[in-house]
Amino acid sequence: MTKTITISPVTRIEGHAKITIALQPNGDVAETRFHVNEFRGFEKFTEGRLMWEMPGITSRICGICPASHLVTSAKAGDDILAVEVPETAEKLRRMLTLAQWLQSHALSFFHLSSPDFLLGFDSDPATRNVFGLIGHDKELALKGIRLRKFGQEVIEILGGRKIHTPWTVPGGVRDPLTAENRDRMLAWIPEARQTVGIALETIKKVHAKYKNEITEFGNFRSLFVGLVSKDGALEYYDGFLRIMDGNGNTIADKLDPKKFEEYFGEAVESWSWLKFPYFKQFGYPDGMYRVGPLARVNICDFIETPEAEEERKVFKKLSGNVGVVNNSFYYHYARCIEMLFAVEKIEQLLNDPAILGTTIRSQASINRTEGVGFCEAPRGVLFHRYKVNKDGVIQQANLIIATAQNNIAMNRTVHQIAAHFIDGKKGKITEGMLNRVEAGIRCYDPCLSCSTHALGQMPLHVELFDANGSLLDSVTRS
Amino acid sequence: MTIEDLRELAEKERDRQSQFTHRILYCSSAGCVSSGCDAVKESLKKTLDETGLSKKCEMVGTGCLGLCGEGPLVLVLPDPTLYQHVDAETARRIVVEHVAEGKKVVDHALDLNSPFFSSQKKIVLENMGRINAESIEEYIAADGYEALGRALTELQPEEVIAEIRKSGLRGRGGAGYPTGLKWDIVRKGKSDQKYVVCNADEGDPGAFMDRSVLEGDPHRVLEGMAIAGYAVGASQGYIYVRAEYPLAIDRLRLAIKQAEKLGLLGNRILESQFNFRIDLRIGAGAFVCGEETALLRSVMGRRGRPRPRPPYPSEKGLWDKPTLINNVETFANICPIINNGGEWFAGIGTPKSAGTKVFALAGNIRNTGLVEVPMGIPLRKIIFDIGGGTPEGTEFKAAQTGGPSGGCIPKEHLDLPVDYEALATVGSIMGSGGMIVMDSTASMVDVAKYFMEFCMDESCGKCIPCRVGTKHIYLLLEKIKNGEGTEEDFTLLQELCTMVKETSLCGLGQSAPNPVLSTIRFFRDEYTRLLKESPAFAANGGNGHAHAAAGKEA
Amino acid sequence: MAIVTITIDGQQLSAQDDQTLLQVAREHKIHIPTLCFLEGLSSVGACRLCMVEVEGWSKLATSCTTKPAEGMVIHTNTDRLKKYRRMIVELLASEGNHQCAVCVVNSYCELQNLAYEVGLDHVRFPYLFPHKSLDATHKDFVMDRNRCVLCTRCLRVCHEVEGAHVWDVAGRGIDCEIVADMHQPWGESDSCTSCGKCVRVCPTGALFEKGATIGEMQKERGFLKFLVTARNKREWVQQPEDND
Repeated sequence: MTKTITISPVTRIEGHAKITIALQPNGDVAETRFHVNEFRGFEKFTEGRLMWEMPGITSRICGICPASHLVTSAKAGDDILAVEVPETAEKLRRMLTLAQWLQSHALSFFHLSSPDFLLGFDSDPATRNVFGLIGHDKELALKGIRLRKFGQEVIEILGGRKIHTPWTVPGGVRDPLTAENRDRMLAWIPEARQTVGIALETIKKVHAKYKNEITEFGNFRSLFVGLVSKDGALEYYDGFLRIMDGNGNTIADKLDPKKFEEYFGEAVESWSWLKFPYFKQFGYPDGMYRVGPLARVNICDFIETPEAEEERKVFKKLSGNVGVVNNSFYYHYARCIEMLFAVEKIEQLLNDPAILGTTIRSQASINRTEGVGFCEAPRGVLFHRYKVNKDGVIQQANLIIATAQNNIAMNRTVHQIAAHFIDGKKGKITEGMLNRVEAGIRCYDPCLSCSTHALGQMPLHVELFDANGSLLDSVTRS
Repeated sequence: MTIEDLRELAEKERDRQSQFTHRILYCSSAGCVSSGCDAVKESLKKTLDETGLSKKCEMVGTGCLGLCGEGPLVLVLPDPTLYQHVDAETARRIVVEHVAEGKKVVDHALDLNSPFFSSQKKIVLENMGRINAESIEEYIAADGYEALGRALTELQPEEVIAEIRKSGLRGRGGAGYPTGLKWDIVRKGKSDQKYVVCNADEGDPGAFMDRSVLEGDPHRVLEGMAIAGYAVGASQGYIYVRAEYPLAIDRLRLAIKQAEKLGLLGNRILESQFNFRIDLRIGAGAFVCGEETALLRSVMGRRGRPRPRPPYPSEKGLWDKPTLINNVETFANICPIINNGGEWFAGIGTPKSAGTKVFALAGNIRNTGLVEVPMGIPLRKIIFDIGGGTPEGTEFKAAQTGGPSGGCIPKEHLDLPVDYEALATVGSIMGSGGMIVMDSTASMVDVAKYFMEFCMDESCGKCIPCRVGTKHIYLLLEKIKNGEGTEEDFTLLQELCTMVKETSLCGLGQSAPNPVLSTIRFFRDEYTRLLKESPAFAANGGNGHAHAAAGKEA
Repeated sequence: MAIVTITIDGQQLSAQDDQTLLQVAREHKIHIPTLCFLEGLSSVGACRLCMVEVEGWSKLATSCTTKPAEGMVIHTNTDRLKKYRRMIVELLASEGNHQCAVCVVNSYCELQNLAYEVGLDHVRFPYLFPHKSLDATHKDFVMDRNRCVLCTRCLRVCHEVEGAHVWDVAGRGIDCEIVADMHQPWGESDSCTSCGKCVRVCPTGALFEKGATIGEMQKERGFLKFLVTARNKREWVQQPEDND
């Protein structure tokens, strides 16, 4: 008799999802699926609105990475206006994008994932969270919270608000940066550098401690997709698409991100609201690819800031002789490297005299009826494509979200973990086993609010089904 | 033409009429037209021609004979005999049996001594069934334009107004403002130009008093307006009549043409110094244009939306000039007052509400039609004596007066005298004269919902309470009716009704909640048993549609 | 014109009898909320927010249209008035598609300010979610009927001050909407002079400048009083522009 275990909702991720694990009669894991069961429909209800409102509206998709949507949407607007953004505006937007990385990565690492590493995958779920972490290592926890605060503060200073700032607009940004505010941000840099250093130390200790998890947490070859700059550096705001395979071979390079729909298709499965993007050339599901920190650090030739570049070289050694790091557990490490890069780069940008410029917004009317914006959101590359009429009214919007692009990989990851850690023959499934399955998902730091354009909170619910779909057992964790 | 010429013309017409041994008056108002009076007319004419009686017997299309529900109606004079349900065959029999042989067609004859006729008092409707609605001569023969002639020759404008004030006449549009006082204000207004406007935008569902008067006796209204023009110092009058009354419009057009031809309208009326023109303005189907400020804007060719008062039209009306605006029935009351004196009029009805009121009886009642009763008559008498009560096997439940602006009066108030003040005490209004009778099969929640839907559709949208409030009142009523309402919804409904009533800009919004508030006041139980929390709701298995059964129990 | 003495909220005040109660109250820093009223335009008494209680009157009076009379005793902020004002704003909130968070006038909106003022923390009526159109055909401005409260300020400023009468109301009741010329796209209007007065007097984000983004459309309305005063006093006529 086949059994199905359901983990619903998955906890400590951004959004609402469940995992089902179907067991074969002999207790082995037959199939594991990551279901995203929320739906919002931003693409539909932005139809009929004005192109200029899109940054403000689409940033509402997500409370975690609004700035990424803001930048992407404004860039789609730039494209429709057919303008070049003034230098200062581009630099300010770059800074905003990095602040978004920092803020989001700090949340993922310190608040959502480190309870597993530091308290243990099998520790009491009641305290296996950021509050338990405060009890365990108050200083580390508080530093993590403050690092996130730095990211938020940059966003707040630039846009005037912590979240949903409508500061980035088609053509540029709305307000220039004052010298006083620049200095306020600069004052944060030393502390931020120190905290990122601690994060890197911590993750390296984790690597030593959880060898078993590392080998089983999404360890498979896949494509990696992300932006690189013209000269091959880690990119976050502009640049070209590079596609690398699981052996470190560059499959495609210098692809125009505006044509992403030509390269990538989207498959749909009846059991999830989240689409399954794939690289068209390889078909579905073989065109599985990963985006986000792991992909970005994997595909770039170098990182332009010195300390992060050093760290990247250390990271690369983890790949053995393959040339890319295929293990999803190392998303956490890549995330820490990116935090380091973000802090270094923000400092560089703040010290650039151009950052205080006051020519920040290009004015134009509608010059194209279609525009694409893209950037590297914390979770991976993000695209907005708008079609407008001659007056700038949205006729169609298509938003392709980082989390969705990891969908196939996330499914593969949970299956791998379930197959390794869950032993149905014993008849008893421990909470710790299930937590590992969830932790596999957390590697990708998925933001389902974004990817289905929805919001949600999630206690965990586990259900065991037999082959006929009747409920055998259920456990609820709040 | 002088007043002497006028009187001569009257004499001549009376002589003409006296040549005939019989007069057959068939109702030619919209009610009987729709029930087939054209066939009756054809048959009468054909039979008269065939029998060679057309020289002895005159056939005349007259105004509303009252018992619209039993139409087509035909009245034969002299020795008044009223026939109901007349078809072509009956019409033929009326000629060959009644006119030719003097034998009444008893199976179609109505008893003119029945309470429906004997309890009425006809002043406004006095010419209905007496004269040809399309003949000015017949109107003149019935003392028509005599009042205008006397006013112009014997009375100063102030004296006309004094007479109206003495009569105690109050506005028949529903609000009951003293007519003489209004005339006096316009008279005293200093302006090179003043206007008289007749409000014939009768829009209440089920009301057809004004239409009947305009169709049956249009000259009465023209004459009343001319007298008003003389009294207040206006030289231009407008009749604002709704486009849905094509027959009334035709008859008014004809009447104006006839009166102008005889010098009874236009310049130097009856060879006096008084000039008065009347033009028609056709409404485009907005109920709110019955509200005077909206009506005036519409007359001026602008969008029909009300404005706050003061200033009242009597100070600033059409093109900011002093403007007298009265209802059709008010103007129709002027001639008898001038002819018979204000004191005579004041003696009819009650001290505060003088004269008569025309009602259009409709709904679950045996005698539907147009009736005129003295003010102060008990409601019971109108419904049971004149109206004949509710149909067999049903019980009276409520009478709705004042249309969408009025309220429902339950049986415990049946002995209420019908006057302005008394109706207000039970949360209704006199209104323009619609009276809809409901029996025990009616659901009061449905009634309230029906009227609210009407007001919601007819709201002009200018002020927020009426525009949005009526919509939400309607939605709340619908929710309650569908058994989805809660106690909270019911409270909110009442709160919203009070707010819309007190804050709306014009009479439409201010009175729109009346049907809801009055049905809640007298039939609260019909609402509460539909609420989810009520035991009755649960007893019905949570089926909100139990209201029909609920109605029957009540 | 005569001077009369009236009492507003317990304060005895002198007023000219050709003023309105609202003017008198504002002169004496007594706050009465308004929405359709705008100094420089005619008063239509449509929003009903400025209603006050006058002792001895059976009905409430709109202070923007009521003139003071000797001995009048007026109350501007009774519990009844507060309740009704809250309900009026509540009705407006349910009527349109008002999404402050993504609106061009967020934090500069008169409707939003009214909602704060009357304490509108929730709406008890179901949102009507009407299907309203957005007209972006004008080269400089946008009309978003989702946010329109039908105050008719645009209509009045265009008719009374600019003299173009582009705007009018179409439909009735809950289906009313402001339309350009003969209900045609604004960009195709022959009468519009693109002066932008309507945009500046609009209390909400229904009218705004094209290209404005969320919370960016702050409206300056002082121009109106200046324009109307200068015109009434014929300040421009007395000193011709080309006469040094």
